[in-house]
Amino acid sequence: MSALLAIRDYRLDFATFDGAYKVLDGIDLDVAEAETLGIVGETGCGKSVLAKSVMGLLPSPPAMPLSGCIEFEGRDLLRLKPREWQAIRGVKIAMIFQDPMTFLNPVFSIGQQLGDAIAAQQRAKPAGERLDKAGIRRHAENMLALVRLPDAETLLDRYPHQLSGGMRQRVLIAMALSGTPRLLIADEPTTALDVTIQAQVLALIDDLVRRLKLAVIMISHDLGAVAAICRRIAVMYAGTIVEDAPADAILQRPRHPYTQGLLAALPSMAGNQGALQGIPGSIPNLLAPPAGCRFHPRCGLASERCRSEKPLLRELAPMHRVACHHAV
Amino acid sequence: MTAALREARASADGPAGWRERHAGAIRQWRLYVHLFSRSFSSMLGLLLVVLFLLLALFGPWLAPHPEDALGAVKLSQRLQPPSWGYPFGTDEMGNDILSRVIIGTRTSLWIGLLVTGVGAGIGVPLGIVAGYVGGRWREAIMRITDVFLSVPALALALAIVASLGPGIDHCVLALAVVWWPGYVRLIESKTLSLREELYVEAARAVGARTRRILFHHILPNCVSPLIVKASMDMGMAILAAASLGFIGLGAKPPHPEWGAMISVARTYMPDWWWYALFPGLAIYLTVLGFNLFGDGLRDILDPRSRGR
Amino acid sequence: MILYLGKRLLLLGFTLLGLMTIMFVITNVAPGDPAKLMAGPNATRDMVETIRHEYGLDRPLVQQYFVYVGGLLRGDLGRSIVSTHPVSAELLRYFPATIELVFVAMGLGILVGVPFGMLSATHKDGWIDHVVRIFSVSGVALPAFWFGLLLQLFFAVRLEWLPVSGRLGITTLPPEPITQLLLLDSLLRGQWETFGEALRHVILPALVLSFPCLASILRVNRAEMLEVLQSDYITGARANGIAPLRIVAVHALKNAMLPTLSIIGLRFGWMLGSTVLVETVFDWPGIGLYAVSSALSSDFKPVMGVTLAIGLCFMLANFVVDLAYSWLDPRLRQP
Repeated sequence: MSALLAIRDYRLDFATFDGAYKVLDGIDLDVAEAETLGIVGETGCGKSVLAKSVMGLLPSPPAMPLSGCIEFEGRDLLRLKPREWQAIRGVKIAMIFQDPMTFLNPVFSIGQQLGDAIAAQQRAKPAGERLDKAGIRRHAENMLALVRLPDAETLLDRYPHQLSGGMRQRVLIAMALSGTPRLLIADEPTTALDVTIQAQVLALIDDLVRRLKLAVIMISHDLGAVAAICRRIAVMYAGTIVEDAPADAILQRPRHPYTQGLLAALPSMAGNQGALQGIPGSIPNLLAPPAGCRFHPRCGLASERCRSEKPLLRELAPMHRVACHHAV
Repeated sequence: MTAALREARASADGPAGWRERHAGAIRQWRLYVHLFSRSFSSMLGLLLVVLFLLLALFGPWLAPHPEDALGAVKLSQRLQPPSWGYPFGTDEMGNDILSRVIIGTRTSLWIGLLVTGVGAGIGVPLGIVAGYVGGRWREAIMRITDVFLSVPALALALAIVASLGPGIDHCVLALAVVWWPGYVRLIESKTLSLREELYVEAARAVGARTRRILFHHILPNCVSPLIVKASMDMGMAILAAASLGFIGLGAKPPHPEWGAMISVARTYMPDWWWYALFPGLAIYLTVLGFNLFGDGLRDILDPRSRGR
Repeated sequence: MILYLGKRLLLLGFTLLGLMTIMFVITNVAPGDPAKLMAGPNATRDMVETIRHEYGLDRPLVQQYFVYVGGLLRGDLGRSIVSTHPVSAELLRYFPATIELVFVAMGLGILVGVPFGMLSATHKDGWIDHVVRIFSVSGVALPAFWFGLLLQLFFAVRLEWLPVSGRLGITTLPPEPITQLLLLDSLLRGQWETFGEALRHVILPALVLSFPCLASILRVNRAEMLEVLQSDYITGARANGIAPLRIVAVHALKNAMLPTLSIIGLRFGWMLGSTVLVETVFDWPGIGLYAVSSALSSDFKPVMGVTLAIGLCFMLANFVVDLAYSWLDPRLRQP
């Protein structure tokens, strides 16, 4: 079964005044139909950049794709012309973002923005099948019901500043899903929300994924949020994927030193564990990243080989890939 | 005191020490100069401002025919087109227009300076009082300011000059009356926001006197927007004064004021077109210079408030 | 909402009263004898005293003030010495010409300024951007009267494409007045030739009048668009597949228009003031020209009337801008 989304050896630089930041260094990742993949990593590891690359939302200077390809349904997204993106964005691949307040236009009503998104998605259909104005409004109400927002009719006439954070995020989810995309990319969807609302939104996403047979890439620095929904987790560090395995395997049997460090750093609810454990050092400067394995300056297992040779993802167990010379 | 401290103290005295004590401020200034000089339009503005300042200061010595500035009568040379002897041509009295434009620079710049100075001199203190003291004082001052700002500048200035009678002094007075409210608004809002700053609160808590707070904390922070506004206002005040001169309410002939010159030149259009061209060019370049200069200042002093 | 409107109108009324007070102060603090001014330069002492008594100029200032305000509220703006007609009647006569000119100029400013500001932002550092930036800087510095003279010289005299002055040719009959706005009236009456001629006459003065406004709008709109286009909600709209044209022209523009709107209001005021210059250069029979010719004849009442009229217009314009603001930005509306 061929993957829905296949990223192969994707490298990306950011050209700035100070030089070229080597933000993504050879990403290899697959997402199958109706699969839920979580991407975790610290701030600055490149997860959002990767997500925006898939959507083609990175402005091309300063972002400079160097090599590799991002194949969706067999087409290389990196080679798409701007016009061709109209048939992909919102229609085949959709994205929701971190801060629902700033991602909604403050001067337009919810109905207007949702209606606009739906109308744009309709244009990808042949002329005979498109919804008319009334149809669009009905579709909008259905979508709001789908994300469990009550009182859809009045809500459509409200403005973003009149809604709470959780409601706004649901509206964004409704907008993203209104074109029945096959892949949803969620970039830190719950980070800006209160903990209780986080749980609700995550439950909603989980439910929608099952019902709509949606593939999801969920990006977060919060392992807990990712583990709640995703069946597979990829761990990113400094622009590379270091481990890629089913969620259970990552949580119970992490094999890459970085993943192990992440899990060890999580405070435990069970009694006294002593001091919190961190990972020594800090993330590398991407202007001049370390040679070889990018994690080696902070790794207890680092050897001469790690300093010179970049480790590639190897399958150490079924469906479990690790990029480390010393992992077992 | 230890020897090290004594030594440090000693090195901070005297000329070398001055540089050390003010190292932070010096670095700040060098950054400003560097940023300013990188912008073409800002440097152009600076160039124009300096040019006209020099013309204003040294006008009588730079003009080729200084006696023409006060209306010498040389009818044999009247209304000659631009030539090597008379680069801007001559007017209806035979005077060299170039000389008159150069000498007129002094008038225009002087008017601009007076109007801006008096306007700021009245507006800034009122603004600080309104912003800092608040309450009834603020209400009263802001209401009066609003009334003055409810009429466009030129219209109000026209009314004032019409009632006082023509003449440069009346022009300056009218324009100053029209200009001060703008400063009140600017300084009031700045003072209001400064008053909420933590360091002002801290000063008050420690018991600093109001006068000290005003002079030491509030006023210095008002300086940057003030300088930006003042430079832009110089240009606009000169333009307004020339406009009043054009209408005929400004300088009396034969005084070489640019606006008045264009007013006379109008009757000699279109055949003797150079007469109106050059004084107007002088106005344009002066105002442009001050505008570009003020823009450049704003870009380095307060880069967040672009485009207003 | 009604409460808000009512409050604003009340404020407007107070400001207007304040303006009247200022005008009163100007007339009476001025050096020179107002009675002498009114009597004219050839009056004898007796005539001056008669005028003084007739116009109540010998009564205490405070009383004069109340008479004055009372008169203003009744619409009595005094009489012009030169023409002996009531100022209010003359104002009404000359007002439409100015309104027509200002509206055409404002229209030019907005219809050219907004789209080109947008284009300049979406094609940053392209040639359009450079042209727009040079234009917007120099536009504000250009003396209106000088620019008007140059345009007259070039287009009217050298090229003979456009007329030099006035609203219509000397031999053309104006259409029967409905609105007193020549462009509108000739359209409504179906007189196409007259319309064309009125249009040709209004182009140069409107262009000159609109220049600083156009420059400001270009500048602010460009800056605001640049900032708005970086916003998150624009990225969000792109992610939802909305067409780029719609994103710029609808989603971004509405946000960018807010500060542009307040600049438009300010520039309207400057334009009203500049009519005294432009109408003089082009012999345009509006209130600006009326004010200038009165001022030069030491006829003060018309000048005062024009100043009050311009002030009122500006206040109303600001009021409209405030309303437009709360209409455009739902965050400003009372919940």
